[in-house]
Amino acid sequence: MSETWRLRARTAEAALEIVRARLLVARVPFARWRDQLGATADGPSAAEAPLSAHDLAEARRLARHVDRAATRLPGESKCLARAMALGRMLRRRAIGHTLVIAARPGIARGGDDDLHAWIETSGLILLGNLPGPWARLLVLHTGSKAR
Amino acid sequence: MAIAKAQGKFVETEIDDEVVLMDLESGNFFSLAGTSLAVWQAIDGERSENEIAALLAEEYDQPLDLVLSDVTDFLGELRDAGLVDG
Repeated sequence: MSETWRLRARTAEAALEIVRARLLVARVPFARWRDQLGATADGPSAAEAPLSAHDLAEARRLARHVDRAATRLPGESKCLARAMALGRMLRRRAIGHTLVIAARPGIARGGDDDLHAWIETSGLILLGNLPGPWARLLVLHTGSKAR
Repeated sequence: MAIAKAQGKFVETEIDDEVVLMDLESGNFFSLAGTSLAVWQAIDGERSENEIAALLAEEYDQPLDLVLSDVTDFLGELRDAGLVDG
């Protein structure tokens, strides 16, 4: 497969994952898919281990594909759907990451983005980096698989 | 009857003078501040509705019947949301 087609395939993969996530968020109760997002801090996780340079570069590339796909899809792909899509793509490639759902403090609230979700790994926000402050409500880890 | 928080059904975080709850069943968010936060913080799994009202009436120096009415209403909302048992 040529590099161009490889890139297109990844964007298509991201688009499919975003559509899947949007449908889940809109139509299925949160409790039914919550566990797919990762394990809570109490659960087993290897996500705290820093990624290799190769995996970190790959994770950043995938995040760009998710953003690109989101802008090309009709309708709005909100932060949670984007984060879920990237999370699935990273999990498929056994790249550890953390999905965070957070709220703005009341004093800073009142906009469209009072609640937010993002993906981070190795201390970097890969997708959904909005200026804070944020109070983390739900932190869900997916570990890297041993290689 | 003692009122208890429905453990495992929500996550919460404190932000300044507020607590934000996320219902892990529905994914809904709740913001608690002021008197609703005071009621939430008074729920310890041992106090009854009347005892919570009495505690807050004393703390805020308000008539018990008035506070009890507010506490009853708010606990009803929390029960409807599945965030408390009892």
